Amino acid sequence: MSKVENVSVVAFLCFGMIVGALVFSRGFLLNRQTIHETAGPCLHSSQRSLHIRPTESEPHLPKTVGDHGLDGMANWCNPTPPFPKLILVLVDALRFDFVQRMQFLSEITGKGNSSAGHHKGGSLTSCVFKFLADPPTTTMQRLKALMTGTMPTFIDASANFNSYEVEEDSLIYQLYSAGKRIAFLGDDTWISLFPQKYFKSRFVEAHPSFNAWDLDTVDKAVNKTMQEIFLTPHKDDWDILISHLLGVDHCGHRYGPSHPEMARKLHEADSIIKHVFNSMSNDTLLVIFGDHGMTATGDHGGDSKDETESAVIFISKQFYKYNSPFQCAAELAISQIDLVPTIALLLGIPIPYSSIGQVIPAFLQNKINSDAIAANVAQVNKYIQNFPSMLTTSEKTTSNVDNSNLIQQYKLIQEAYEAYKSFPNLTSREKLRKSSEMYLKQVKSVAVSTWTQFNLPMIYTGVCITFLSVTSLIIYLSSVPFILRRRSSITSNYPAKVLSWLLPSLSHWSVLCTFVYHSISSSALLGIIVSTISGLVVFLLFYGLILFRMYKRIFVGYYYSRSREYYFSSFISVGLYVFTCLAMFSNSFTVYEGYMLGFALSLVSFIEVASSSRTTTTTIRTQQGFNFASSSSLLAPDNLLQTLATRKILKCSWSCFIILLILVRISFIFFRCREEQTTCSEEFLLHKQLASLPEDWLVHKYLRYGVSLLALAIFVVSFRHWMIYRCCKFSKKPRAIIARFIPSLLVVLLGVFWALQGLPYISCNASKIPLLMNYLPLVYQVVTVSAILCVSWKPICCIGHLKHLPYTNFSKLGRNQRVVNNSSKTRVESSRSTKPENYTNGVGHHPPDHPPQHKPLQPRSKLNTTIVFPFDIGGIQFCDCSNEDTYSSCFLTLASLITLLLVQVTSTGIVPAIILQAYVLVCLVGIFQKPSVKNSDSWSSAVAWTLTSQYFFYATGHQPIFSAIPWDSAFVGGGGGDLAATSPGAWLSWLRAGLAVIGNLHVSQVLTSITLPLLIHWSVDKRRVESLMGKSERQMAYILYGKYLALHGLKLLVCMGCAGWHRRHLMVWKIFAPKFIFEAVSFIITSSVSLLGMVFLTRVSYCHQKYLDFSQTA
Amino acid sequence: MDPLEHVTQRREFIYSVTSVLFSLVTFALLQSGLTGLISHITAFQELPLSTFVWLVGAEWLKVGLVHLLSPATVGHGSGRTPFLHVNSKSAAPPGSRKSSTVTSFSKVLEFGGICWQTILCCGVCHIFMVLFGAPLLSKFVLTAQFSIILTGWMFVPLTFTFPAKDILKQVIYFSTWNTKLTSVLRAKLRFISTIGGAMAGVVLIPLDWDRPWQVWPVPTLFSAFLTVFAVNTAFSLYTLLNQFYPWMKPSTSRVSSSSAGGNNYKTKNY
Repeated sequence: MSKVENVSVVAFLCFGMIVGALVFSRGFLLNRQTIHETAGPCLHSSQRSLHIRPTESEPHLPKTVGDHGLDGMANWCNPTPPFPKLILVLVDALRFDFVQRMQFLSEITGKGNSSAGHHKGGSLTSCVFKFLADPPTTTMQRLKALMTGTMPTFIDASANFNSYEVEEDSLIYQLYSAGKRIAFLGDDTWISLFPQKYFKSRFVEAHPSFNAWDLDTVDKAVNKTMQEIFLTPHKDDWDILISHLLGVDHCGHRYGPSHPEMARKLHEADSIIKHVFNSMSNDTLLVIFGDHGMTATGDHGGDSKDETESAVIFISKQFYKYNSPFQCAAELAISQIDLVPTIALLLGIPIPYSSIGQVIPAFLQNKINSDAIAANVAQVNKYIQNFPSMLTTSEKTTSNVDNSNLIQQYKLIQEAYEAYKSFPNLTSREKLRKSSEMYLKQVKSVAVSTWTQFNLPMIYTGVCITFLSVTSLIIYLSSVPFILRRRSSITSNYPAKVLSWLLPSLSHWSVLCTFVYHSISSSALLGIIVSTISGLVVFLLFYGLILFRMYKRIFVGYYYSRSREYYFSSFISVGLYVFTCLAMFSNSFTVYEGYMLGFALSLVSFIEVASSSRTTTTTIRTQQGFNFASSSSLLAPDNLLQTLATRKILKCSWSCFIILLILVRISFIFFRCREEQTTCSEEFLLHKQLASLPEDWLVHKYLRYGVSLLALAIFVVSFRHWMIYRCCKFSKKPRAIIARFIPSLLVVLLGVFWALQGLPYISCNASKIPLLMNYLPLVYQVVTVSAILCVSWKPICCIGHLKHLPYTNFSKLGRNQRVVNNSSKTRVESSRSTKPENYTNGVGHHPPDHPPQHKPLQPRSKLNTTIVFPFDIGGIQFCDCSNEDTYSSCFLTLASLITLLLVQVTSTGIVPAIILQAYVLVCLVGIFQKPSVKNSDSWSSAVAWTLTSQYFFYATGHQPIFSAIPWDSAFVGGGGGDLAATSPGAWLSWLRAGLAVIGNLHVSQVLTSITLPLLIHWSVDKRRVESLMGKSERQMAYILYGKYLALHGLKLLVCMGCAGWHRRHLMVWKIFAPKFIFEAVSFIITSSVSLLGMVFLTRVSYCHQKYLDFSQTA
Repeated sequence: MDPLEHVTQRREFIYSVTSVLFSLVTFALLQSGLTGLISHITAFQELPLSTFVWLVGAEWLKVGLVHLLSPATVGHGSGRTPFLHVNSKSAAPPGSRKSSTVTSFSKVLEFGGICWQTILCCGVCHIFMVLFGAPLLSKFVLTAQFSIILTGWMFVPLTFTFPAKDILKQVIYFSTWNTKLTSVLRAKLRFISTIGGAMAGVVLIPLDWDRPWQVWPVPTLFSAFLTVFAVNTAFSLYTLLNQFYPWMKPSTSRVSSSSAGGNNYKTKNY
């Protein structure tokens, strides 16, 4: 029962933390309510029918509109739209400087200058502007902003590949309702954003965009259809043509902006544009724009200058005699949201309802310019009337700039408009223009600050839930060993029995509650909150009751059951950990968190090495105390409490520690840079896949390939030899064969795969290789996953040899006769606790209770000193030490298989870092091994383990920023071609791709979580009789898991606190919010993998027990 | 009280008082030249030679002064040695405790051993700094200088308690030091606080204040210096109070007796 209780309590509390984080994110990341209203219909058309409407030749609106004043202008449309046809060419990730690299475009825009005017004085008008995106610069958010004219909200950024429909008014909707037939070619994100019915033309071709390694498919298809579209029979099938070229973005992701491939892609895009330009009619407006830029490594998502600056180019062949259809102002940077009103006015449709953009200043012809401005202002004002908070906050924010809020400014504009109406001269026009420009600018700035509107109650609730969960988990963990011990000693009617039934049922309670609330109020969120909080409160109440009833015994027992070192090192290391958490409040510590965590990890293990004396019990100390009392002399050599054994152990842990330090220091080179780290530079682009390296890095490629493969090979071989060496001679059962041979096989496969990946660039023309590249990873993954499943179903892969083990071991016993002779006596000692007299004769030689415990580093020394305690159980002799090995080998097998699975999706350059992490974990086991199982669940080891998992997040080449998410690992899995949403097996490939990205991102968390029981099972000395049952270790492992999760939860809590606290900080969207999101995701991964690990542990101990029972009866 | 214990305390007291004096002089010197020092460090990537010599030489001067005023002479025979000495070869089993202070014959040998040990300590210090995250090559000179200075601060006080010849070995067994002995306890506290002080300075480095003194190893150097100053002040004050105020005296004896008593109590419990 206790194991069910342990697991379910930890699971429930983790669930509580996750719920808290989600509730928090609901309040923190949600920012804008969408308003489902649409603009229109057009004022002039409606007035034509309702009122007596003057002819269109009138430059501005008639007096009848004056009744409405400025407000009535909201639905004004351009009465003389210069363009009936529109072609939008979206070149994904068209950074501003790319325009100069595109021959045709730079020619047409006047030798690549940003301000361009009339082209060669010919019959052509073209303008190029800098096009500023608002962060986050991910494609879907940009598309939304470009088509609706609003700011995208932050929460959408996390749902990028699960894009949902735009519910607001948009340019597409307005075009659709104006009766234009929209043709579409390109990325299928558009189709998921806008319902298919809006695209009424015959030409609607959407291609899946997820495979970012595929540079050509979409562009080729677009190009082909583009040729077709402009042929005469189809020329009139469409009014609006939208095409989305993905190649440049994909090329950026894969090769970066300065690769020769990029030149090719740019040229291709250029030639497509040229073709469009040449074949379009005179009354067509061609708009070429990018949705975002890219960083020097080709990524995007953040808000650096390179990422936000793209380009927009308006081209028209039309050229009126005296005024062109549009006029370019001088060098100008426009915002992305300005595109919507501008295009709307140029095409004569109403400005979409929710747009807050500004018509590009002085862009339209003079005669309609003022009306356009008025319409723009009126429409924006109408929209922001929905947000009274915006009008009020503006008073505060702008009070020191110009003493007016939006309402007052709007009044000013109204006056100016009236004045303009009565006297349409230059000054009134100018006045209107200026005031409206100011107004719109202010609207934009207010919108930026207000639409990060936080839902404070949600934030507080989330923090509260997480806080409660973390606290109750910590309380539970620190007292549960005693309660369990007590319960095992007292079997009578006892309150703990109620507890043991109550605690597992908590999670059911919360699920039930959720469903009930869901059915009542149809808001699942409230149900989840209520159920979680009530569950937590019930838990705390009952647990507090139990603690209260037996607090005296618990605390007394608590204090005396642990040594002083235990408290010392726990206190210090938890304090350090809390410091590393609290340091998240400082942005510079968050930026340099990787280094800080490495330092903290080293420090925690240093404290452990320097503080624990490694004497098994206090007997030696007291013995020395006697000596000291009798004759205290400084010069006596034994005033230092050293026996040979402690010396040996200390040397082991010191060498472990130094190796750990070296490994951690080496892993610094795998760090990735983030923008804020000024002195950082990525020389080797280790996070890039082998295929996306520059062509001329040949030596580097070979070196990387060799190093990674070598590291993997050494890892696998040493793993196998370790198993063989530890007498885990593998049996003939399939799982043992898997454990033995599959890893090596996988490494060979991986070597082949990497070699293919690193082949010189062939542009995917060789027919066989792409096929191979698709199926090889699939084979690899299937093999690995099935091996993992097999191993986790039947975990015990080397106990089959246990029967014969005593035989082989007894042959060694001849050499260790003395040790074996001691064994019976030691068993007596262990039962009778400790007595100084027992040791007086045992000091001279190696005391039997100090086996050298650093196995991985000095495995050979183990041979001579392995202490074997033969047991007679049902006539079969068991070797207790192999019992430990049975457990640890299971975890090692599983962990190595999982490592191999994850290695495939990470980049080749990072592989050595992952292997380093495995060695670091081994070193930590060496450092934190405890002589007795009682203290093996110390907080310090949990802290070290947690710090490792957090540190290696950075050391495996990740950073908590959005542009550093390794999307490309979704495509190394191959099979990216069939990611189309329509195919029946699509969800499978989506799942695979998603898991690959998460696996790459959270390699370290997965590995550390799955190997946590090694701390318990790989360390203890072999003397314990009860270890045959493995029960106490299992409990320890559960508690250790709980502590590990509690520490992670603490970090999550602090990150939530930081994000909430700094919600008006300048850097919040750059540093704190991403940090929180990454931390939340990592906690979800960690807790789920840890729960799996607990289940696996249970399975192992169950199988082991079954085997023992079986052999007992046999 | 053990005579050696007494001698150790006296020697340490002299060391502490001189350290405090030296630190005060250093403070006075720094007050004028602090900005110059920091700008020199940032410009040349090394400590000014005068500062370096001053800090390292002070350590040797202090040792010399201690030797002059109170040589490590203990009970039976033997000459005046600057450092405590134990013939470590006989140190193996706890059963056979034979201690011998050094004879004048082995002085030369011992001196060689001490030099060796010093160099080794500096090297170890440097390596640990690099392993804990100091730049490997770019600030090699600075790190080396800092490690030499820190070696003086960390290891010299240990030589009053432990034989100077195998200080490093004792440091490895740091966790097993018998803190029931007051001198060992003092040494331990001193060692821990020096390391802790040096490490506490690290906190300032990543902050984005863009100050010239935020660059490795300036904050650690200063924090270590301040800690050493504080520790020495505390210790000399403590000893002074013990020495000159009679009402403090019983407390010390009580401390020692209570530690012994606690010991007995504990053993009885077990």
